[in-house]
Amino acid sequence: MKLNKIINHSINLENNEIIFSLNTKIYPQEIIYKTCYTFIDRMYVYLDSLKKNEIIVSLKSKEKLTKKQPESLKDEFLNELLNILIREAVSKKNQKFLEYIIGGAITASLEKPEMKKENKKEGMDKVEKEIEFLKKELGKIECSEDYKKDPLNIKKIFKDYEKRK
Amino acid sequence: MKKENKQFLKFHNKLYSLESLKKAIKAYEKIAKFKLIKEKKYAVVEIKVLSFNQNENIGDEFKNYALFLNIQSL
Repeated sequence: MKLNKIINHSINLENNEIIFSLNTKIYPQEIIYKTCYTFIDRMYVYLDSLKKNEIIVSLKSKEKLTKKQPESLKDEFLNELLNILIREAVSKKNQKFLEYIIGGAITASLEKPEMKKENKKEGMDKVEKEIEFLKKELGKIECSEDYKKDPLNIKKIFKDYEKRK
Repeated sequence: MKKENKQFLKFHNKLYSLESLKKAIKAYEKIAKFKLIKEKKYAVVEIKVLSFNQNENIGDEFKNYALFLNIQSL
């Protein structure tokens, strides 16, 4: 089956114009926009929508067209549409991969900041103070007598178990 | 002789943002008079051109520029 029969079009030679509709389920709106952008300098592009999931594209040449030219314009548009669609799909697929490569390259290119001697000493002092503080806190927990209380009688259960052995 | 040329252009709300239409109107306001009418599905732009030797394709040019601005704003 010819593509022309699938995507119907109407040609207005007086206006040098071809009008056809596209299904947005196959060609998303964003892809249609991007394709229009590549044509906008050569011809007048107009979009409309009469149904849901359908965009009507009107391509109007800035120059006089012959009988067959409007159809070739449409074919060119459809080719570009497919081209952009595939490019987008590939770039989406490789996006994570590219992010990793670029991220790695940026990180590798960055110089590691060196600490000044004074800052280094200050930093070490802070760390030592923190260690001391944590040691004291740990000592407090170890020294508390709470663990000697045995409200659940675990000691007894444990002793009984040992005896049975 | 001055000949008044009036055009009505319809822009679907899903395809053309109001902002891009307003920007396009601002860019063309020295060439023609514009009126923006908001409808349910469409924004209608009324263009009045005083044509001595004015470009007859002002409507098409306007449509193109509105689409260009719309794509740029994405």
